[in-house]
Amino acid sequence: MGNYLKYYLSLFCLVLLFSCAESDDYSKLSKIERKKLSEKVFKEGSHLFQGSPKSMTRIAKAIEIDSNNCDAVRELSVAYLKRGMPNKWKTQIDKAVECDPVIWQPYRGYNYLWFYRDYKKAIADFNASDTLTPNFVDAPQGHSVDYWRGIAYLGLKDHENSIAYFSKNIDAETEEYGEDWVEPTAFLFRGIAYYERNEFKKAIADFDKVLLYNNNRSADAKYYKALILQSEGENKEAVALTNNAMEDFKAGSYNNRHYVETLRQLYLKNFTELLRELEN
Amino acid sequence: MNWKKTFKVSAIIIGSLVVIGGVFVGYIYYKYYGKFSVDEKKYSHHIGYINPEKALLTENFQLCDVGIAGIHSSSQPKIYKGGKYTFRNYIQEHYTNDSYTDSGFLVFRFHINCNGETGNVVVSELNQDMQPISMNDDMVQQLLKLTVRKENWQVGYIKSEDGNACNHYMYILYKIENGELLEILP
Repeated sequence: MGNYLKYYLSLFCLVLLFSCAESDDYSKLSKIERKKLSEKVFKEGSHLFQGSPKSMTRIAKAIEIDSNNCDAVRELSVAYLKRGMPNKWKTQIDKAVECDPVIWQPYRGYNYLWFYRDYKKAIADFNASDTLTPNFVDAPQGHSVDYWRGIAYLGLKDHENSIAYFSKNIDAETEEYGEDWVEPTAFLFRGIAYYERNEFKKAIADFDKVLLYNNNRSADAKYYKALILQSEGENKEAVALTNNAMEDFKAGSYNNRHYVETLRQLYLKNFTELLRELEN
Repeated sequence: MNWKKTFKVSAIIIGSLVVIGGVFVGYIYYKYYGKFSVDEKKYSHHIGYINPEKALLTENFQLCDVGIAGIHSSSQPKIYKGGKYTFRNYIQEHYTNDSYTDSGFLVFRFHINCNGETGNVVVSELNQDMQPISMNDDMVQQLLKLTVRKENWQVGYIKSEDGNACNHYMYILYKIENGELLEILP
């Protein structure tokens, strides 16, 4: 039995050995070593709950090791963005932009656009990306800056520019990958811009594209088509289409976003109010 | 059959398995959570934490003894009773711009407890560059009162393990230009 106790003690010592903390003295490390260590510290804690004390501490530590770890500098801003703390977000995201403007300036524009609806600052950041990467169209958060500019100009009710940027985005995607690869909301938002400019024929063409690429399910496209029918006095058809749109809405086929509402977001009451108008 | 020996061997095997299991669990805990330290000075709480001692509307307000939902990114959209459409309409119909000249962002961060009551409000008044400013107090109080109205909010769609409604974290951000409400977010 005594032997087993020795083994347990050895095992305990082994565990203690592996539990030793890393030294916090980074001055002896070379630039490359600091870069690698910073990336390791940053990535190792990526599973921690965003904005938790442990997560924030580990990101700050990664930046302390290597202040040029721009991914970490940006990540430190995200919890403030999502939790409604604009001044804290702004301080940190500006540092990320300073650290790596090519990557983080268009991304900051995306944040201005959705979380603060500051369309002018968003456009300024998207425009800056054209200068920073002259022969390349940046795509923060998975969509081209032209798509984002289309939305920002729609927010400003500058329909001409909105349509121009959505068209640029749609044409480029169509030429490179085919029309079925175009983000369907590019057609939706451009259609809304046309609708708000009373260019109903062009609007309908875009809403039909949305329906084509969404298996004929889109509460938004059908709602706007019903509005056009209403303006043309075709109330009976408009009622049928609004009811159909409401079914799509209830099934979850409507335009929306995580964290913040989308531009021109529709709610169930939009449909019930339109029905009430049409039936009176 | 040597029962004594059998018992001894069994005890050693079980003991070993318990130790190995304990070490394994401890190692996993350490690797994925325990080894990450906390800078208590800078990050004593999660981002968005509301300290009731520094908040408004704390009198007669208490969080229920359950968790707080929505601390990751607010409790929108389900927290609005009748949806955001109803909330926005209510604010726009009842808010009056009494010749205010303020522009910028007015943010209320607050809790809604399991009974749907609101409290623990933190107010941020920011200019268009997101720097702290002081906004017209009358405007701030007017929007605060409209925002925290109990009838705006619903709870109970997220329940704790014992089936009770959770508390919620929420924020409302007003984008304002010359006292006019341009946007209500999130």
